[in-house]
Amino acid sequence: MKKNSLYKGTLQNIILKLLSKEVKMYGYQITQRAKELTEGELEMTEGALYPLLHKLEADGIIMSEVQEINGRSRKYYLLTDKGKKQQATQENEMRSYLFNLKTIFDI
Amino acid sequence: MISAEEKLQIENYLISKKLPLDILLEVKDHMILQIEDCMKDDKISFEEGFSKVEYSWKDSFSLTKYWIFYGQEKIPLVVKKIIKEKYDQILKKAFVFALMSFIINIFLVFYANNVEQYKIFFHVQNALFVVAPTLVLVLNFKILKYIRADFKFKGRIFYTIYQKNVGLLAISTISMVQVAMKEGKYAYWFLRTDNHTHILFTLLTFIVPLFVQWFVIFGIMNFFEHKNTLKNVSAISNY
Repeated sequence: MKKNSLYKGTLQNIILKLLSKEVKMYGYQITQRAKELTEGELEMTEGALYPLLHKLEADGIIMSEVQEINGRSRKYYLLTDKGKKQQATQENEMRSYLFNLKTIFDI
Repeated sequence: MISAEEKLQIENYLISKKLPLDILLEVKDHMILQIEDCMKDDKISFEEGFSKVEYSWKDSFSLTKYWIFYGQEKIPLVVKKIIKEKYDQILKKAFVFALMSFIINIFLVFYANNVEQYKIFFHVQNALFVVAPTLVLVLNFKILKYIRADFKFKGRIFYTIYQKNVGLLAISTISMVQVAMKEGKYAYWFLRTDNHTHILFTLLTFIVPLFVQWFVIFGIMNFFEHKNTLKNVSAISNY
């Protein structure tokens, strides 16, 4: 992460949310989309991104498919059915968490 | 746009970093896109973009050891992180199966009518863990050539992240042969008679098969992960 480690614990939520919106994404695209949405604030390191993607794949939350693009292979990640349910649950939890956090910090 | 020669330069760089082919292909695509964006956004040359990207990956490519990997060779940190996530899962699943076999073993102690019958059960049960990996290797003889390091890059890299440990299947099977040749009588004596004089041998009779079976099941699962990953790699490249 670029500026702080607060995003660290939420990296999985961020990846799952992006995949739920974009349907399928490749590693570099995920880093760039997160960076773009946060106006450069969130810079995912490759060393954190790929182990997490492979963990989610091993857990059956996401799956991958490889396509040939411009003569080279590109690995896309997609949510599985299990992943879609988990993403919805985690998003609700995260929204509740953010709401509570906002309430506290707005005192 | 990056030229074919420059792509080859990136590929050679990743080979020098000892990335297995399945990870290399993914990282190569990532690096090419990163360099192209650097060249476009910062208006710099390929060499400058490559240096910049190389620096951003520096920590991920630092070499480290992973205890579960056979041999003393170090691997890149990013590979260790990825394989650790995969192996944590495989080890857990393999242990559940080994534990089920352990429970069956205890059941067989009580099911047997006498120690001679239990000895047969013990041999058969453990022999299954020799037969299963042997069958896996025989039925998959076509991919045995992918057990050694790759032939395209003259042995400099592995095809998949799992390949380094595929040889463990043979080692664990040989260990299992030794277990299957034992009699297991101490377990029977301990649980079915008042003979509790050989505590150490009894413990070994329970624990050694459990761990070697765990090892064999892990080896089989690792082999199939290697096989499946190999399919993906060969489907997308001409290696």
